[in-house]
Amino acid sequence: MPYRETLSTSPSTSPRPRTRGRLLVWLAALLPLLLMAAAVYGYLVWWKPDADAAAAQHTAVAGPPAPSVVTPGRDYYVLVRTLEVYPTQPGGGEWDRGGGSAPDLWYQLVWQGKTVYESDTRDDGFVALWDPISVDVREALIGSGTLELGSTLNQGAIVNVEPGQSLEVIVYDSDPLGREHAGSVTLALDALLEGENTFTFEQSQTQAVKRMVLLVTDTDQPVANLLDALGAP
Amino acid sequence: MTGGRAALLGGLLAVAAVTLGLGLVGPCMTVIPKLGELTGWVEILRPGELDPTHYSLLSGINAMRLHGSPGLAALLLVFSVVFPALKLAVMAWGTAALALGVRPHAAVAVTHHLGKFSMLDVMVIGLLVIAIKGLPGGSEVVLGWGVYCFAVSVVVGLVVSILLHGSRPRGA
Repeated sequence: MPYRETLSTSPSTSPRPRTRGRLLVWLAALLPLLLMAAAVYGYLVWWKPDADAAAAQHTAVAGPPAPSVVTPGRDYYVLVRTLEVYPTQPGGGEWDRGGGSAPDLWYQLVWQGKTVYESDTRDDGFVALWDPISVDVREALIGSGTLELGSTLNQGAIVNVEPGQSLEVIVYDSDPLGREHAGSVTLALDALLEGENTFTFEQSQTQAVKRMVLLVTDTDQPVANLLDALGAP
Repeated sequence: MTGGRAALLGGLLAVAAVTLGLGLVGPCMTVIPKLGELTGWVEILRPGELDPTHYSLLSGINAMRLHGSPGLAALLLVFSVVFPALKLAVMAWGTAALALGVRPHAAVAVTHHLGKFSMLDVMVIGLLVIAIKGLPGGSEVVLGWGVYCFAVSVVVGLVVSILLHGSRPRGA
């Protein structure tokens, strides 16, 4: 074998080729490391950014379908998820005169001339958020010991959509002496979209509501889908 | 060692090196957490909590280090990153030594035996898949091509190791 011949002759004949050979051998050892580093570099610099961009595009294309308008004759959960008011009351007055704090917001839903839902109060804020579900943990733990998922969807009203009907959202600032009107919005029920409906308003003498996000969800969905729909960002 | 065999070993080593590099940084696994009937609840109460998490081998090791398992992270780093890379370097060293007629180092023989340990990471991933699939709630683990690249690198490395071992002259 060439290897054995070299081994037997190289020490006695020429040390310089042997030294050069050892140098080449050491350089060869670096090649896999260089190839590894090149693969890592190539992936991180060229491949991954392209793959991430393609994935983002795919997500955008395959994202949730465009929201559809509600169907007349069906029942829907309706609730306000977000309310934002201007820094001053309708007409420009200060919120919480004397107290100096931000308004304590709550709202009413009025359908067919009657109040169908009143929200809890969110204290001291220009932006108020309401979760679509609420759970009585104490009742769940020490009451019957069971929790019906459907019963937790209690943070809004159920309305039956009919053409020509409207839903009124009246916003108040709660104060120790009662309530102060912060604004109101009247919405055509059959024009609402399933999912999130975001509205923005100009401030006026009767209106201090700046932004409102209304959630509308079909009640006929299975509870699990309903939770998904209400939980969608 | 013949020139053809040296070229074959060199090519296999190149494949092992490239796949090892890709296996370390490519997508290794995606964990899709689910909590059974509570999934909808958690998505509402903690949006983003159940988002799928993507890991490469390196980012997975780093996640282990950051989440309280520095010992296991160090073990995986040694046997999945440092050792395979050094093993390839030593085998390239040995291949070149045999091809050029220089006496190969004893490390070549050592790597032949230690090579089996580089599968440690694949085994850990296998255990993770089994563990996560066994959890209630339907959580899923989807393996990415990074795992397969890493496994290819390890297997090709073993083949090179065997071929290299067989190429050593008698009495060397």
